[in-house]
Amino acid sequence: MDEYPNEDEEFELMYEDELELIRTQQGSEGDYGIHNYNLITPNIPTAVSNTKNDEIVNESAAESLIEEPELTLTEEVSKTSTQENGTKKRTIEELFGDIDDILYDERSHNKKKAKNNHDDDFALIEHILELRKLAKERQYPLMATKSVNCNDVYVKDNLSYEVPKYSFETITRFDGKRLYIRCHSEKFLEEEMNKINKKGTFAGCMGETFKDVWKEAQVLLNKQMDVGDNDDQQNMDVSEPSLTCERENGAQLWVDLYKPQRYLELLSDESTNRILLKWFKLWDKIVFNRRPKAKLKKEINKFNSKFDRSEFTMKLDDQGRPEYKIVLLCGSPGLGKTTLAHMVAKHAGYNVVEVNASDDRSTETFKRMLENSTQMSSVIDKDRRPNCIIFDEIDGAPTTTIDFLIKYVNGTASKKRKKDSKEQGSVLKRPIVCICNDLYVPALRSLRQIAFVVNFPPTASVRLAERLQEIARRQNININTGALLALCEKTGNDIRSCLSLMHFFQSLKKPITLSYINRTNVGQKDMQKGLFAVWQDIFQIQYSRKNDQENELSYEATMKKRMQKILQVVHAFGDYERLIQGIFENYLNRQLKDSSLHGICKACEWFCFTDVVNNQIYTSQNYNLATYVQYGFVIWHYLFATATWQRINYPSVGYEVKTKATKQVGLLEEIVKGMKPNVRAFTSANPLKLDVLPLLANIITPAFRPVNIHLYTQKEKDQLNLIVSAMIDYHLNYVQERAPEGHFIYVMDPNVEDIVSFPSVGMRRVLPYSIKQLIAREVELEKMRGIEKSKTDNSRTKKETVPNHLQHLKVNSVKPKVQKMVSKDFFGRIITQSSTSKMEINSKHDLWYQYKEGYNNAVRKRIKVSSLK
Amino acid sequence: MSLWVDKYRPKDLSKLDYHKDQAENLKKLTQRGDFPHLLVYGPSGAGKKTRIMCILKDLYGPGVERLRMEQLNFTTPSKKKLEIMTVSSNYHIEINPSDVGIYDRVVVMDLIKNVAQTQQLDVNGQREFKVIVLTDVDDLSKDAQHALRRTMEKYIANCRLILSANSTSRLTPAIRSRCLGIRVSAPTITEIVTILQGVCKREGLNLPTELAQRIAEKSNRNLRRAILMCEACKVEQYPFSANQNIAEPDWLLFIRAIARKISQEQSINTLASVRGDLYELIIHGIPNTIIFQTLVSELVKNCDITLKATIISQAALFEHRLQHGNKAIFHLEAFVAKYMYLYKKFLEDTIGDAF
Repeated sequence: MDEYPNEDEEFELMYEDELELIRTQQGSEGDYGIHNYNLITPNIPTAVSNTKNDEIVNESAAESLIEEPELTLTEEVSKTSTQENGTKKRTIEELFGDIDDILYDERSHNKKKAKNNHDDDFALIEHILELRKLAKERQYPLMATKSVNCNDVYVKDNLSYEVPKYSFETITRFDGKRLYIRCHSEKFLEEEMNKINKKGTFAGCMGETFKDVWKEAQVLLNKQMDVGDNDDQQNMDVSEPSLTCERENGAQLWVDLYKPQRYLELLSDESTNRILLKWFKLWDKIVFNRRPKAKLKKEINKFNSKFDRSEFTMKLDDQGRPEYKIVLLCGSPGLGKTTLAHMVAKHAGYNVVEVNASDDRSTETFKRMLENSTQMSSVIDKDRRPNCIIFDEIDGAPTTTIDFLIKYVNGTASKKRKKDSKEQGSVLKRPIVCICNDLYVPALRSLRQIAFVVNFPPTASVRLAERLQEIARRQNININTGALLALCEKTGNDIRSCLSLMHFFQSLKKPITLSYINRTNVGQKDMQKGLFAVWQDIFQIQYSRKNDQENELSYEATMKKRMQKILQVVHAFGDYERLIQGIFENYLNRQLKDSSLHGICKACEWFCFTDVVNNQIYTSQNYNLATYVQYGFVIWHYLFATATWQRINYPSVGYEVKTKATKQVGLLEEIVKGMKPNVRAFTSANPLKLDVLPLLANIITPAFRPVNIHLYTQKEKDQLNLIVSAMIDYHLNYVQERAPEGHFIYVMDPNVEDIVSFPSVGMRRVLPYSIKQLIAREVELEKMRGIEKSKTDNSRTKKETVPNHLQHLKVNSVKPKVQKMVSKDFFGRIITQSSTSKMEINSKHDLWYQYKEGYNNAVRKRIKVSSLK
Repeated sequence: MSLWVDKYRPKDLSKLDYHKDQAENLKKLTQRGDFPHLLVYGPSGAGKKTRIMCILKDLYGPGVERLRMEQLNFTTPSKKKLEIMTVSSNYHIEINPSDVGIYDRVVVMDLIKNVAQTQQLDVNGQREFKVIVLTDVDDLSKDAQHALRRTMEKYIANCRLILSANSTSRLTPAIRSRCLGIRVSAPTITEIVTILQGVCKREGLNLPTELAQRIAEKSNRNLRRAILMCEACKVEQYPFSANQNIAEPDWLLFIRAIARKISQEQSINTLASVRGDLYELIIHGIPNTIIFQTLVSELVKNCDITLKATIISQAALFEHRLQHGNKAIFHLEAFVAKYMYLYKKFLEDTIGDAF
C-alpha cells in the first residue's frame, strides 16, 4: 500500500504478479498497521505532560484566567487515566471519535518530510502561525479557554518526550527536560475549534458551569461516535486507498486538496495507467541507463504476451529508445489525464516540465523550451531528476509548433545517422507526453501518426462515487451514495466538476439528497448537444414526466418553460446559422396543420429577421445583436413543434446550391474572358446571362440538314458561317467528350446549356452529332483563319513574323534590289551597267549569292564552295 | 461581330436611332475641350454602353475601337490576390469593380490612381485626359463609393470618369453631384419596331410589322433582347409569319411557371416545390431583384385590384429586407408564403361574401 521508492519500481515491474498479490495483502495489513499505530501513540506520559504544556502555553496569560482551564484539565486527565487502564482502544475512540484523522495527518507528515525538503519551510511557517495563535489567545482570554479545551482533546499526540515523527518545536522545561510540541497549522486549529464550537454552544459556556457543558458535550460526542462508527465501517468496506492530504485548507480547491498523491490512488482506468507507466519504463534504458538491453527486451516480450494488446507493440529502436517517442493522451475533460501524466512521470522518477495553453507556444519559445528540457537537467533540484515534458492542451497549440515537435522527434534522429555519433546531444532522450481533449483536431493529424495514442475511457461512476463518498466523509457532508451517483451522472463523470459541486454543497451545510441534486441547476455542464439533438428539441415538444401529474401547469407556464428550454439549448449550442439552416430546410417537411399559412408567414418573417441580423453582425462585427437571433428559435418551436418524433435531414441543400452557383459563375467568367474585346465592350456578365446567352443558345442551334457540308446550299452555308462567327465572338465551341455510357458526344465548352436552361421549360433543339462535329471543325478553322488574317493585318505595318516551322523558302526576286543598288566607282561616279544580262542569269537559278561590296585589305581569290567545309 | 446586336450597333453619335436630341448634346459636349465626369444611367438594353463608346469615339477617333482585354492584378491589404478583367484601348480603360465583390474599393483606389497619376505624354493631337469607364457602379460598395469621390476631383486634370449604372438610387449623393447625369431611357415600342425593321432590311429580310410589334412588346423594351429575339425568330423560321413563336429567355419562362404554380394552389407542399424552383434560379445566378420583379409582375397579373397594392407593398418590403440580408432564399420564400397567405385569405373572404 505504501509508496514504492524509485529503485524498486523495476523490481515491481519484473515481478508484477507476485507483487500484485503481495500488494493486496499489504493493503489490508497496512490498514491494520495504521490502526495499531493510532492506538499506540497516545500514552499516559503525554497526557500528563499535557498540563505542563498548558502551563507553558498560558504562562504569560493572566493568572486568574488560567484557573478555569486547569479545572477542566484535571478532570479530563483523571477521566482518561481511569479509563486508560481498561481497554485503551475503546477509550480513545469513544472519547475522540474521529481521531484517526489527525493520525493520518501525522503519517502524511512523515512521508512528506522524507520526500520533500520544503517541508522544513512549512514547519517553520506553521510554527509562526502557532505563535501567532498564542498571542491571539493572550489577547482574547475567552478564546484561550476554548483553545485549551481543544488542546485538551489532542494533547496526547501533540506532546512527547521523545523526538516525535511529526513536525515539532522543542521546549525546555524548568527542570531541564525537553518537550516536543507538535505544530499545527492555524487553519487546522480553527477548523477544530469551529467543530467544538458547534458541539457546545458558546453562550451556554458563559452561563453554566463547565460540568454541565461537558455533560452536554459528551452526549453529543456519543452521538457523533455512532456516526463515526458507521463511517469507519464504510471505510473498511470500501478499503480504498486513504487520502493522505487531510489538512483542511479553505483556500485550497478541493480538486487540489484531494488530488491523488500516489500512483495507486489514481481514479482513471487501471489499464490506461499501466500502459502509460510501461511506456515510461521503456525510457529507463536511455534515461537512467539502468538495465541491460537484452533483459528489457525479454521483459517487453513478456508484456506483449501477457497483455496481448495490438496497439501496445513497443520496441526499442537502435538507440535504446522506445519506438514511439511521444505518447498522446486524449479524452474528455475531467478524466484526470493531466493528473495521471504528472503522477506517472513522478512515479517513474522524472522531473515534470509542463507546457500548457497558458504558456507562449510560438515555435521559437517552444523550441527553446524543448531543447532546454530535453538536453539539460535541473541544477537546483537536489535529486537531479531527468526532465519529462508534458504538453498539456496540445490541441490548441499552433500547427507550426506541432510540426516542429514532430520534426524534433523524427528529424534529429536522421541527422544523427548522417553525422555518426558526434551530435549525441541533439537526440531526443526524454519522454514527451502530449495531452489533448480532441484527438481529431487537424493540427494533430501528423502527430497522431507518430505518437502512441492512449485513449482515456470514461471513469466508472461507481469508482468516482466511492471517492466522492470518501471526500464527503472527510468534509462532513451528509450525502448518500445514490445522490453521489446522480451527481456523477449529471456531470458526466467529470471528477473536477463533481468536486467543485461538492465544495458548493458544503457551503449549504445541510444534507444533500438525490432530489436536491436533480433539482438544482447548478453544476449542469454547459454541454453541447449535438446538432440533431438541438433540432429535435426545437421540432418536438417534450412533456416532462413529473410535472404532468404533480400540477396542472397553466398554458402560459408550459409555454414559458418551453421557451426557456429552447433558449438554453440553443444558446448552449451557439452555431445559430447552422441551426437556422437546418430548421429552414426541414420545417416544410413537418406535418403542419396550418392551412391558412399564417404560421408559415410568421416563421418566414423570423427567418428574414435572423438573416438580416446575422448579416448585420458579420458586416459590422456587432455581436451584441446575436442575442436577438435566438428568439427566432422559440417562435419556430412554438410554430412547428409536434409531440411526435419526425425525421430531420441534415441541411445540405444550401451548401449544394452555393457550390452549384459558384460553378455557374465560373462558367460565365470563362465565357466573358474569352469573348472578343469588341463584343465584350458592350456587354457584361449580367446582360450576358439574362439576355444574350439564352437567345444565343437558340440562334446557334438552327435546323440543319444532317448532310455533308458540300451538299449545303449557299444559304445554309451562310448560316453556318454566321453561327461559327457568333460562337467565336462569344468564345464557344463544341468539344468531344465521352459520355458515361461510353459513346462520344459533343458538348458546348463552356457549357452555355448549363447556364441558360431550366428544368421543364424551354426545350431547345439539340443538334445532331454530325452537325456539332461540323460546327466544331468550322470553328477551329475559322479561328485559324482569324489568326492568319490578323497576321496579314499586322504585316502591313510590321514585318511578317512567321514561326520557324511555318517558314518556307521563297524565291527572292533580285530585280528591285538591283535596280536600287547603284554601283559607284572609286571616285563616287555612278557606273552605268547593262544589268539585263546579269538579270537573266540570276533569274535562271534558284539560289543566288551576293557579296557585300566594300573595302577590304584581305587578298581576294576565287574559292569553290566544295573546298570550304 | 456576326450577331445582329453587335453587327448593327451604331458606332457614331450621329448614327444613333433614338434619343437624337441627347446625342446632339453629347456631340456638342465632346467637341468642346472641357468634358465633365459622366454618369450614364438607364435600364438594361437601353443603349448606355453604345452611347459611351460613341462618346469615346467622338473624343479620340477610331483608335478607340482597337480594343484589347487585359487582366489586372491587385493585392488587398490583407494580401489577397485579385484579378480583374479590363477592356481597354489606348485612350480609355473599362472596368467593372463589382467583379471582385467586397474588394471593389481596392480596385477603385489602385486603378484610378494609377491611371490618373500618369499624364498623357503626347499632348498634341490628343485630349489631355484619359477616360475610365466604370460599369455597374450601382453595385459598388459604400466604401468604394467613398474612395471614389475624392479621387474624382483630385485627378480631374488627367482623367475623366464615365460611370454606367442602372439606377442612381444606390449611388451616394456625393458621387451623383460630381457627375453630369445622362439618362438613357429604354426605347419605346415604336422605336424598337423601327429599329428591328431597319435591321432586317439591312439583312435583306422582310419583317412583318405585327411580328416586330410582338417582339418589341415581349422584349420588355430591352433593345438588346429585342434584336436577339428577332434573330432567334429568323433562325427558327424564315420567311417570318406574323404569329410565329417568339423565343424568350428560359429564366423568364421559368419564373412564369413558378408564378403559375403559386397561383394555382396555396399549400405547404406548393411552397416546398417552389423553394426548389427558387433555388434553381439562385443557382443560375439570376439577380434577386430581377427574380422579385418578374415574379411580382407575373403574380399580380391574376390578382384582384384590391389585392394588388398589398402584394406590391409586401414585395417591396421583402426585397428591401433582402438588400440588407444575405440569404436570398429566405426572403424569396417569405414573400411567396406571404402571397399565398394573402391570396388565400382574399379568396376565402370573397367566397364568404358571395354567400
